[in-house]
Amino acid sequence: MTGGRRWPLTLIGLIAVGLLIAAGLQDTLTFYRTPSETSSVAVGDRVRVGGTVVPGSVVREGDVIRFRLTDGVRDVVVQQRIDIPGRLREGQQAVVEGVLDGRGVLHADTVMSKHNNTYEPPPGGTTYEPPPGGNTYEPPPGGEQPGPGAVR
Amino acid sequence: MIGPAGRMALALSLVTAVTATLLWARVALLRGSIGLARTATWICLVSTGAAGVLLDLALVTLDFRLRYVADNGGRDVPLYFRVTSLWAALDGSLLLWLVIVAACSAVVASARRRSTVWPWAMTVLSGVTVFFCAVAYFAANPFDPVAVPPADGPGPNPLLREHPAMGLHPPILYSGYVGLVVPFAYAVSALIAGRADRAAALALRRWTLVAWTLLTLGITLGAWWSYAVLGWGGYWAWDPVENASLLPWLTATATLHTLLVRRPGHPLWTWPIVLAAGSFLLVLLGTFLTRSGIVTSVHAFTASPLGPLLLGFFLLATALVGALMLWRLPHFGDGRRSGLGIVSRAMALHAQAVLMVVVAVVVVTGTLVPVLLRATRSAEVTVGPAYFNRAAVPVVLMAVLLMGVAPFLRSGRPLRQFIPSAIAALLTIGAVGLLAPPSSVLALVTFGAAAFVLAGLARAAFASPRPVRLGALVAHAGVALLAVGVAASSAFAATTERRLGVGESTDIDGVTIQVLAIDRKQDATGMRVAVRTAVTDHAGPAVISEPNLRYYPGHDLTVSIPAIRVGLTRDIYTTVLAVAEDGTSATVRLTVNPLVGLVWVGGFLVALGGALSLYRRRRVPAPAPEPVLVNPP
Repeated sequence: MTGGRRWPLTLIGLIAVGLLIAAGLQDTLTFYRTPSETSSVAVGDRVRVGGTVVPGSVVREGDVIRFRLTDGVRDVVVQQRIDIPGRLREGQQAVVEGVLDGRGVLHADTVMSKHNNTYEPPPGGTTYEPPPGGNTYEPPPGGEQPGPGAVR
Repeated sequence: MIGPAGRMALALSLVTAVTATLLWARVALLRGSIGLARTATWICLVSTGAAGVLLDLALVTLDFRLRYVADNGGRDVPLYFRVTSLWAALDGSLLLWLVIVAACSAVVASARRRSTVWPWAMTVLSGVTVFFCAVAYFAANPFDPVAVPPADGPGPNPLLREHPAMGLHPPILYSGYVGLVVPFAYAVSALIAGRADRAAALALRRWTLVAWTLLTLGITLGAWWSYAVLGWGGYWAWDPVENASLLPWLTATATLHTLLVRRPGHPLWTWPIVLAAGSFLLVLLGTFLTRSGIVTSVHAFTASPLGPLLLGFFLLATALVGALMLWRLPHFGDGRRSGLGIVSRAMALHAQAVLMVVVAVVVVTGTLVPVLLRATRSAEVTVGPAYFNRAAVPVVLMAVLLMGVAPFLRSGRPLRQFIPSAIAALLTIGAVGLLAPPSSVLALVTFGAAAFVLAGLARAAFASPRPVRLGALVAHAGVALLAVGVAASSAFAATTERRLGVGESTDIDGVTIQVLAIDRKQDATGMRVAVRTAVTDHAGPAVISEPNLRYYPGHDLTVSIPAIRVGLTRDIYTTVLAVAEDGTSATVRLTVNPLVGLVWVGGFLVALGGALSLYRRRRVPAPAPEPVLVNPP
């Protein structure tokens, strides 16, 4: 293998890596959508949806929990098997990840808590409250919160 | 007192780092006094070390006048976790970064056997130190005061005070990660000078090996910690920050292999220079991703003004190194006298480096796609583990197969040598495929590849003369075991999630779990729910297993702490996902993870292999110290 024959080999290698990456990215990207945008999502595609949990919409039936997420324009019905405490509060922001079925129901398997998502950063950062008798110290916005990005 | 003293120590570090850079540049250009420059480097280490000690002192004595302590200190935090809080948040972890860079500089400054490009390497090291001193002093000063000190703080993030590994994983990982600055400095110094000698090649190899060994150990500890503490049941999530530590590991692995193309003591050539320089650029990229708040991750700290600064430094360093390469790389050869044979050891080593770089390109693409799409505001996306499994894993498998071939390429008759290894691989595939067909073909191929490698290594271990060094033998066996652990635990793991009342039970794969009691306890730090369960493995005796759910109001964070029954062939892993408000039932996840222990065993063997290579190499008699010029400009 001499220097003169090297560049075609390099070119073939680069094309192969490009194809590998392109093939890998096929169907493995998860897009972030608002509830209004879910109508354009194809059935069976994995999607991440963020919005407010509609107060009064949370219904638990055995292992299954059902609720509605809204962006103020449209709602999307979310159904999931597992309820993570503290992650889902009525009237609060939530981000869920899952697959849409033909009836527009999102079957979620991942719920991300509000204070960890980067899509709509909360203004306050933490909800730390000083103990009784303490003073009015407030931690700075975004002080110290390396929480888990997602509950898997 | 600690605040002003700490700020003064950091200011002194910055001043001495700038002074050291100028003095080392003077040594390089004008042959100035080495002693003076070395003194400046040492003072810089002492003052950064003092800053680290002072910050830890403030955390231990709870000096809430400092912002960092107000954010991360807490009266209820035990002493051990007060000490480890030094690296529990952004500013402190950057201070640790700085201390490690300063320590590396001081050690290199005291080198006995010096390369002709050593003064330039010291200049580069001092320059990097200046940047991180400036970051620590101006942008992320942990000694900044708060206007009104609080009476108590929230303590470090709960995830970082649940496990003693907090005292090991971050400092070890950081040492390896940041230690790659030294190979970088030697590579860049060779580029600046347009030449390199044996001493530079040896220093580059030794430091790459040290950093790589620590990095391997740190990543393995992190995987184990993630499995044992974060109750999601896995050990690797292709999380952006995990990727950030993997990227330089891949390129450092490639660096070590390309260095084997020539005997130790040969002057540097193109491949190791490019790979060593690239490894640290990936470290800088990873630091930017982790410390700027641009990615959401378990490890990333929240948004900070550091982003533009770190990105700027990464881009500047990349541009400078790129320009140096365009200018100087043609001066360096490819390290070979003749062409490459298609079936040769040199070819295999080069192919290994190429495969590692391809994996790095795949991983960096998957990590950066969401960042770039968000930066251009075209879309919000995440790249899931499926991408990495599909695009990176096959390439890794090719590298594993190559690892099984490589040991025999020195001896004359390569093809016949592989027959026993191939038989072992086919037998393994046949046996596993018939007895316990895994869900994916990839897993089956991995078992075959691992058997191929292990059979080859076993034969190599007893061959005389041994074709592979002991360190490489151990590291390669570690990689094969790691591959088996990963494939088995992902292909054969069985999980069930059920909401169980007290007395109810569920089972999977012959393992039964019964909820005995659900205890709720309230203590000073928050609420803890312990779910007492009886775990029965097949017909064996019932064992009590108690996974926990802890809620920390100070951080509004719920942490699920798993209970793991570690077995020789499989782990039984139970977690509580939720507890009903009336406390009568709990949602429990039961996972049976076969051979997951091989992941940690494999990882530690890889690190041990690195350490053994280091030890053995030191005993090789040193070559003559005189510089050998490669195509002088």
